[in-house]
Amino acid sequence: MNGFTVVFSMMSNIKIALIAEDETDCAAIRKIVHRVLGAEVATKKWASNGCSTLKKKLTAKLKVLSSEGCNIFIVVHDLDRNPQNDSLNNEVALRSKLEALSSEIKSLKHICIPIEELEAWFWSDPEVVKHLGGEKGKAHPNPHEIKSPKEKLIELSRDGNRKPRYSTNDNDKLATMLNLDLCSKRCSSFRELVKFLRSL
Amino acid sequence: MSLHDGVSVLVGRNGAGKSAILEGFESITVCAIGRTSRFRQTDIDIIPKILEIEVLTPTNRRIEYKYELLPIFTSDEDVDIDDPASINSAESQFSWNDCCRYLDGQKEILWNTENGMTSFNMEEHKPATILGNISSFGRYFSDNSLKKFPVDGMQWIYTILKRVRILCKPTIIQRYKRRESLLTWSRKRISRSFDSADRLSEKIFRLFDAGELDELNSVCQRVGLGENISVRKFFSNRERSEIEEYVFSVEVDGVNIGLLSDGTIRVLSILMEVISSKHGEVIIIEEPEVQIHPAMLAKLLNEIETYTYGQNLIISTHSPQVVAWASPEKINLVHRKDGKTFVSKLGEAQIHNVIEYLSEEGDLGEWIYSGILDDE
Repeated sequence: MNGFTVVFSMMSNIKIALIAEDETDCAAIRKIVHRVLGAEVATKKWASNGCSTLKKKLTAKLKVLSSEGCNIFIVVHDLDRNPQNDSLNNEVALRSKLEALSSEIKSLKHICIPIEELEAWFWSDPEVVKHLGGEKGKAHPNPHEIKSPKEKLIELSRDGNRKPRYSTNDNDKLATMLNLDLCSKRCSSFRELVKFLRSL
Repeated sequence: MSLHDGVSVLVGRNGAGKSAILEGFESITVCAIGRTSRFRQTDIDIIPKILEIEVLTPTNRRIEYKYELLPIFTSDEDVDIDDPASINSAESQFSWNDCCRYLDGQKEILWNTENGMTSFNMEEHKPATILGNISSFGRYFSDNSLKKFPVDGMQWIYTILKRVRILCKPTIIQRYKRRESLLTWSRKRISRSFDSADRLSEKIFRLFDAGELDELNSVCQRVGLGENISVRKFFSNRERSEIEEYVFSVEVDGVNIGLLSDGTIRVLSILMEVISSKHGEVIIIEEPEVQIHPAMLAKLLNEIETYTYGQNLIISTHSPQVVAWASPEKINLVHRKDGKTFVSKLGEAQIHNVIEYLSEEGDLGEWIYSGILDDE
């Protein structure tokens, strides 16, 4: 009983800043946070509407979020492809840049870099894939190898009349049903995020 | 302008001709390629009388399509010029000359319509002529072997031009005041629709009648527009009548559609349009940003992206948010010179520059509207 009280009290002091490139990413991460830490954990989001804006305004936004009471920070930035040669950008370089831009934040911080898109995570779970595509699709053991995972989810979700059942507005719903352990096993960016949350 | 690679976003200053392009597509699909030859006199002014477009095929060939509207003069003795209602209800009749041909290679003519007769080449260059425009083709050649057009590219351009759904931006004052939308169903027909809410009610009712309202409901839920769209029927007192007749209203979370805000109706209209689209159609949306909150617009764009994936979608816009949603190669710059409207894509060097800009400096909307393209 005492243990429960202590945990609850600690969680009630937490206010997590969620920073991502768009609203749907923020909504999905928020669901993951609540599933790992409990729905009572307070969050505050900033959707930058684009990767360059995220980088340009990250330092300033972190200050604002900090002054608004956030004491834990999660920054999510896709590892995009270079549109000219289709290769993935350099993850180490991106992480260093985001670390540097957020270096003024001394409290707990995690930088999450999904390979290409956060939507790749959903390909890790057979139940999510079945939910979207029935028997048509198959979960992928290495979702980071899927090119354009978002478009592939739309394609997967098309029914006989070619009507899609999935849009990125569904991401928070899919995050609710995502198998955390399986996704952790198959997606390193997700594994590190969950590890960070469980360490709080 | 390419019409085979999904999204095309038209950007340009006011008066550059974006709306004229969209109206051009509409008049081609409704009139010249379609079968409509009668218009209310009030509508005729907005139809381009002469129109020429050039499109790039999936095999990188250039096709020119042009038409000319020809009025058919009829007696106007039924029109009372002192009675506006009489003028508004009067119809004018038209016919169309049109020509579709390649501009490169051997410059083959795909079809040519003149004075109500359409000529084209069958297989092995045998000439054929039919009465009516090109859409009459099926009537004359209905056996299985000739269901499709005989010449390469003909089916593609016909489908592109014929299957267009267009959703124009609302006028400045769309409704003078809100009122409940109540329509009557009688003799399997719906009473005439008056404004945008009535027209939307009618479309949603037809979806309901076909048992297909669930999809609209689920999309509305995920964009946060409402939890439940329903149709309420009020039966008339004509119990003795054998004709099924009732008044109905469409409601969003219990609120009559006519009482919703203009922005909500606009979002609902766009969702209806994209949900109802069929594979192979070209969807045209004029300024989707009008009347819509940026957060809702972001969700709406997500739905548009989903429903038009693999389809042709043309959007005109003045919104940096909509431009930022697109990728640089989908941008079509519209400008006007010497009385003509031109459409061009970003060049390779420009795309290279903008990609560098996007990764570090800003988004595509900022870049396009920064004035960087003004000197060209």
